Amino acid sequence: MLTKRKFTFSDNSDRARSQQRTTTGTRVNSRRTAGHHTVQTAGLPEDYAPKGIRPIPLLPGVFIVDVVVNNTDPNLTNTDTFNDGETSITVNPALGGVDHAAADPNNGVSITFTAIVMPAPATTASPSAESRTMEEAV
Amino acid sequence: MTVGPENFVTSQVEAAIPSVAVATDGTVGVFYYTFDGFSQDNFPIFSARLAQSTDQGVTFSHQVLLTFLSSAADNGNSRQRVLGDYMQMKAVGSCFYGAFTGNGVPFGRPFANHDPIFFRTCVVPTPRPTPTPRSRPTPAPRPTPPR
Repeated sequence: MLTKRKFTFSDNSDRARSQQRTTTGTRVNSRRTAGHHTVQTAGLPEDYAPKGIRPIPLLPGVFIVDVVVNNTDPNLTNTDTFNDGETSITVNPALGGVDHAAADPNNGVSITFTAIVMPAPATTASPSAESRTMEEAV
Repeated sequence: MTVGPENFVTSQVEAAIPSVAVATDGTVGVFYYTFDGFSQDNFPIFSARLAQSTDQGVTFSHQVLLTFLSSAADNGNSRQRVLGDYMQMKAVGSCFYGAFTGNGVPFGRPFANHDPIFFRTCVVPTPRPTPTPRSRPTPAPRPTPPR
């Protein structure tokens, strides 16, 4: 189990789930402590257009992806409900340069974040926390 | 070492969690978040931004990478940290590589969740002016050597 200084994954088992009802939907908080919330409903309309603007501007020359969505595990986007905060990134200088990465798409950038894997609803197993490292081709 | 005067990256906005890196051509990149108010449903709105300076931090140009709703509203706990304590951006060569936390819905997540977002952007090198070829003077004809 991964333990961080500010919180543990075991300090929330006695909290009931709470819901955040909004005018356009309902979000369900996880049983985790402050700052680590899980949302289990579809995104609110404003998630797709905060303040009516495009969330991801069309920026020429900027490559931007969600590591959970663009993942070698195609199901992670459906199962990862943990707040993936405090990301770390490292770039292999020998392979991470644009020219090298284009030549060798299997290497380049490593992104580390923390994810939590929820068990299937039929099981009684507890969620398992794990630190994931993603080798992203850029 | 000489430390120059301080310069603000932004104007008076609510900005936080910066990460700085310098590309090989001297371009200074600063990743940061801004708080942009609340949504209709009272969820905080954040923008992840990248500022770049080509004059050693005196002036910056800014671009928004992602604007998103926090997946959680204020829960009243002063220790609430929806984005974590740090984000990271590195520079390799002329490119900036960063990883930050953002809502995954705009990227296709089926539900709102804070995900690691990766970005890469490279400094566009300023094109050097094409040198004008020097015109060589036509050499004078060699004198015919006497026989």
